[in-house]
Amino acid sequence: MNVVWTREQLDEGVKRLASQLVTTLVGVPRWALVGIRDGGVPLADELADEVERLGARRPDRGDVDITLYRDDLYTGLEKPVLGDTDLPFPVTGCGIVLVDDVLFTGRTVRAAMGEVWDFGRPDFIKLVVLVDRGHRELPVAADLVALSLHTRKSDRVTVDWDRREVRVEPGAG
Amino acid sequence: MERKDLLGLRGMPRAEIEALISTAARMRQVGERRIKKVPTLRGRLVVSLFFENSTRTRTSFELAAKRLSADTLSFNVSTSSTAKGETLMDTARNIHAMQPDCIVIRHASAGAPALLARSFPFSVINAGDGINEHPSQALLDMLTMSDHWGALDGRTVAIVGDVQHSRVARSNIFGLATMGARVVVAGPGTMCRRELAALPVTRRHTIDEVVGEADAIMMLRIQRERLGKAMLPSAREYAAFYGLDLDRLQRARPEVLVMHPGPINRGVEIGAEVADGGRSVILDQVTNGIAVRMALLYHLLGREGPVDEG
Amino acid sequence: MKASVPVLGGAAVEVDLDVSNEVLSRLVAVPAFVDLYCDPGFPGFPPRETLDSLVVGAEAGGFGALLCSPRVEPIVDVPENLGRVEARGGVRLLNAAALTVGLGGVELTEMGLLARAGAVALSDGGVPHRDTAVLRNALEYAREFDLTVLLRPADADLDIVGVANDSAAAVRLGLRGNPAATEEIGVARALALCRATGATVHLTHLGTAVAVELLDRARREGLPISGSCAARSLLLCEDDLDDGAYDARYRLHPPLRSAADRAALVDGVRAGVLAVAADHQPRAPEEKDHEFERAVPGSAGLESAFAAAYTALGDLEATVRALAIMPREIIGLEVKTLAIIDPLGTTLPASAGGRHRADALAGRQLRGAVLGLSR
Repeated sequence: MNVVWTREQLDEGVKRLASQLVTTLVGVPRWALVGIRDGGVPLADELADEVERLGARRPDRGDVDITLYRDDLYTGLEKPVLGDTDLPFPVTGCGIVLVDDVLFTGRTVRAAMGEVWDFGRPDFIKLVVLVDRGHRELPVAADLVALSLHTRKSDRVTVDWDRREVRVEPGAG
Repeated sequence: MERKDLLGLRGMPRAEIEALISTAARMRQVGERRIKKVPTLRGRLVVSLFFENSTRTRTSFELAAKRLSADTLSFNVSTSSTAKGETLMDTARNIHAMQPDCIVIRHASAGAPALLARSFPFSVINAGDGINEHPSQALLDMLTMSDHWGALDGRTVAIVGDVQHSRVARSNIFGLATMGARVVVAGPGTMCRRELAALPVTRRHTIDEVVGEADAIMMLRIQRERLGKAMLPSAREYAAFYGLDLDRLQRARPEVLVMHPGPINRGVEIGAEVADGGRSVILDQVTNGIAVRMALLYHLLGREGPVDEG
Repeated sequence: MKASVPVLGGAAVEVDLDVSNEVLSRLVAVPAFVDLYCDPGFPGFPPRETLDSLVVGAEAGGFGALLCSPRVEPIVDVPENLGRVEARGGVRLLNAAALTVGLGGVELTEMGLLARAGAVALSDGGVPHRDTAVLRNALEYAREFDLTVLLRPADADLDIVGVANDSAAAVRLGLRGNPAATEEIGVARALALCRATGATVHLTHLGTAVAVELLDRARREGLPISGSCAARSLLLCEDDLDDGAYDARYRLHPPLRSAADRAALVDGVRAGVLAVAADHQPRAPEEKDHEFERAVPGSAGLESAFAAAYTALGDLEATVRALAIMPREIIGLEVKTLAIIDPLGTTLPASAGGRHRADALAGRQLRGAVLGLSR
């Protein structure tokens, strides 16, 4: 196991993402932070706090659970437990910032965009991730990234919000 | 949950019932969206095979399948094939040739879904077999109760009416017992016989005995065709002794839930002001029916396919 | 290979068998069995059985004679319809003629002419009689021709209610129940009529503890009445349905009763109150390939009857008395054929599935085996 980011680096990374967000979205009348369950939720919470601390208006918050939009349901494995999708604001006319901890194949982001679309027609969708570990399988790119990692496809990348560290564990492949 | 079929709640482990109920609660949210449809079961084929007419249950299953983006196909066999002498197995072989992923079956004979389940690779959901079971109805009833109570442990549910010939009652009895609730039943002697002692229920003689002790009162539908036969003398006699009217409801606990699987016979098993009153959760049951059936399809379907993550 | 096999309670018999010396040393010859109610669906229903398959099954099961039901096509209710085949191989085919025309329970058959033409007993093929006055007359009339009347005791109206015993199993499985009272009423009625008419009556398909008790009392009283149960009902009971598979193999009529009833039948046979029948009612696969209620009731029984009874009773002498000796007495028949038994062998009813389908005992390993008949 290899800790690639510790507490200070992670704190710094979140702050940097928040200030970049505020800069990017200056002049946008209404936008929301939408965490992708489960990994994106704590990051979206922290970003909302930071944005407010920087003097900007606190954005709306929502979360999506993409289980019903996954393209890998038929795995013969235990069915994923459904989480709540909660978008407590009108999506139509709103700028949506999707938030996830790790960007990998891009399939989760595709599913999340599909789900957001079923709630309304957003003005735009942007993507913010803490870690981009590569190995994309779809034409998906993050607008803001705190940490880019070179990994092997079989590696496991974990953002641990309790210990506040990012770890890379080599996988079986 | 590694399960191909849902044949009944008899013997179903508590963890599975809990998983279905909590999944159903999440599925309900899909119905509250602008677009009431998710792509989960795209390309899957769900066939409803109804040997008895039931517009409600069939449309509830079909809507559930559609909300999960499955394709649906409806066979109403009561009027076609069996009249021409086709056996159940031959009908099923024909449908199997259309490569369905799931068959939702209603049939007059107990065990008909079990026969298909062990003979074919597709998933089988029992939507009512004879007087045996109607598990999706009991699951939606339990979801409705858990919406109000949380856990069902220690609760008392009264089931009143033709318990002997009610698959709704039987599935509820099995499911509620597994979930730790107590079931008391009452009804005419011909419909609530001593043999019910083989089930986990307490038998009472009159509705008045059960009304006061129940957290929920489930009124069963009286089949009109049973009236005036050796089973039951008349509708007014039934209403007088076993119907839930306002008078009786006033003797119930103030927070009691009044339930009915529908369609209701107003003024027979349930008074109009009770069915439409503040304690009635009958229409919640309908909404929950779709959610429960979505949860069932979600858990049963999809046992192969690609794997990925991220 | 010629070999000598001891006869139960007698001298030895020479048989021609191809078995090892070890097996040979434990073989025993017993009086061949006689099936009291064989309902082969032959002639008339070839998918169920043909004459050849019936005879092969009887020989394999150790049966030297079969009392065939009149419920065939055409119904044996006139002398012209009596079976012409009297023996094939070592197996005698006997006929029970109808008690009422068309088994309809309304008009009496020509019992005298039927007896003269070779019928050895009378039976309405298990169809219960709704009209007790007709039944009484039939018994009065039959008495004068000295023919045993086989009755399946049942209340005709309750008989058509339900497909499983109306107690625990039916309630748990959601199957419509048939109450034990169906049979208890039938037995009580038959006893009363037997006492009133003096006719010789044999009660078939007994399945309840009350029936065994009533029959025992009547026999002690000296009434000319006897009774029997199907061999499988000594092993199976309603609890066998409890796996929830709704297996049509167990679709039998009358239905399997409770475990306590089963125990009472075993006790009754051990005590010599009851005889045992194969109750051979073969069913074609297409008759069983249905939902439980729709499946045709019945099961093959010839090839498993001995092993089923022996497994349940655990006593060769009691088994032979119930399957061979008592049936001879009941229909007043002399059958000299012997059956060769291997008490330590095993019988697997499923292996007979090709010929005698849908044996309710398929899948079970039974104690004892029949090696064949010896004339």
